Amino acid sequence: MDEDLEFVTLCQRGDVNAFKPLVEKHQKKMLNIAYRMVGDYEAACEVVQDAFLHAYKAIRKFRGEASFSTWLCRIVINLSKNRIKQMKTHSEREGVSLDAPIETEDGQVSHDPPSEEPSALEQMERKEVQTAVQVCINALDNDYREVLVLRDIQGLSYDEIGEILKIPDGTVKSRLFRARDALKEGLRKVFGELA
Amino acid sequence: MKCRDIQKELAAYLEGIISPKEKEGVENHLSSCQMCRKVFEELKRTEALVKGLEQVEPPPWFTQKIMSRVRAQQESKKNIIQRLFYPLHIKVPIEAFATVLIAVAAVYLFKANEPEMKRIHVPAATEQSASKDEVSKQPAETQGDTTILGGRVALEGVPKPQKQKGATRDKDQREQEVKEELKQRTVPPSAAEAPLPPVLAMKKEVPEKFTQTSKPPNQQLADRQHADTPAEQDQKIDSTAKTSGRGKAIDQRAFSTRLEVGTLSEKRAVALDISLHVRDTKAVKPDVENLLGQLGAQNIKKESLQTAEILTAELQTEKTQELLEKLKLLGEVKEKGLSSELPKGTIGIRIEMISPP
Repeated sequence: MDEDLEFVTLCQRGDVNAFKPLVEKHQKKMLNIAYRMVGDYEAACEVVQDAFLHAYKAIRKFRGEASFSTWLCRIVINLSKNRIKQMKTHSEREGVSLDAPIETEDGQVSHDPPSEEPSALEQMERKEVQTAVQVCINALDNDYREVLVLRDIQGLSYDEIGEILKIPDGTVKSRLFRARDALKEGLRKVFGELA
Repeated sequence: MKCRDIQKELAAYLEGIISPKEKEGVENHLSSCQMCRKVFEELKRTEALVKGLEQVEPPPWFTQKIMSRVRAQQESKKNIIQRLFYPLHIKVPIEAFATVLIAVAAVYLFKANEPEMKRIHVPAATEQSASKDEVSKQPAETQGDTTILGGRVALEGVPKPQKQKGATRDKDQREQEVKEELKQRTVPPSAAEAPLPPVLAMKKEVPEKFTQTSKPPNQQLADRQHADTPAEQDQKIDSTAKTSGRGKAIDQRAFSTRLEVGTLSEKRAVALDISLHVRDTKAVKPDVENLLGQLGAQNIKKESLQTAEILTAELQTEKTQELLEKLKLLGEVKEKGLSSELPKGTIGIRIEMISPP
């Protein structure tokens, strides 16, 4: 933390090279947050680059009230949400609609009845499962998605999440529980039986 | 508790952020309700799936790419700052300072060289304004020296500066240096080295007022206009002399040069000195006066000495030959002036009537 602050101070004095250690240290975490938020690796890379650029531009505004990581994470989340909105607007992204009815051969609409076959989850390879889970995460609302990503994927504390998202702890928890519930429903539609 | 209430508590129970009492109630319900137990298992599975998501690695070029973008942004920001503010905060003062410096240097150089530049034109100007130089000679003679920069420096305005005798040895030495340098630099070699013509030798014998007053008013006015330039030069030179020691020395040279040249011109203007040898000066004197009156001479003045009678007058140059011829009828005439080189216009003449002892 203090190490970050030291480099930040140097950056604030105009030493651009001092920003490199900060990039090296935080890029992976920020990339994973962005990737789980936007669901696309290339887009996540662009988001993180933009986030670091924004951070450097605004480095003089950084007062050290929060950690550099928290501050940077907020930038990444915000840029990710902007990116999601942009992708939806331009219909560039075609995710699986979990709520959309599935047309069957006879033209009837099925609402994903629980399969009586052995769980699809057990038959899928690990990578496919991960992709499916990401698709389900992508289907969540932004408010749920960001909490889920920060808590269950990044393992941040409620306080940290509240600080990043600027929401109270209670809100973090309630959103998290609803996010998990919504994700559970989504996964069940994709995989059938989870348990 | 109903199943719906229990399922709401399941997430918090799974997180471990539930009170012991609520925890006991949830656990009791789960042990007895298969549906709720299944929901709980699905929730645990969901959490496990999410937490099991693999971390992605950033591409190898990632840091470099980010830093290159940051540096590019820094450069563009610098350029913008330089474009907007550099000229205002740094460059303008430098430019302004340089401009002021150049201006000051230019003024200094101009001031320093101005007397020399004027000196180049001095001889021609002073020849044209000879009579004015005579006027300016008067104060030069009476003052003898001029105060420059708090120190008194003797200026040789005329060949006989009386007060120089009382001056210090240093002053005399400086004057001598100035004069020598003047001869080398400013006075044409012919003027400096050649012996003075006879007219110059007569200069002191002719009263100064003769030349000062011998010109018609319009010519005097013209001369005065000509002479304005040297007068202004005096002023400028004096003011310049206060700026630097170098200027002071140059000023002295220029001033001295002008006066010397002016003296030469003055001596030429006092053109004709005639000696008339007669038996009886007092008898001839009225005839000479009449003759001068007939020839249109003006300002006829008489002076009686023991051995001679002197008449001075102003006469047109064209009449001088006629005057000489008629004087020859009265006695033996000797010309001391060069009648062939007399200037045009009105000149001063002096007729000295001498009788043998």
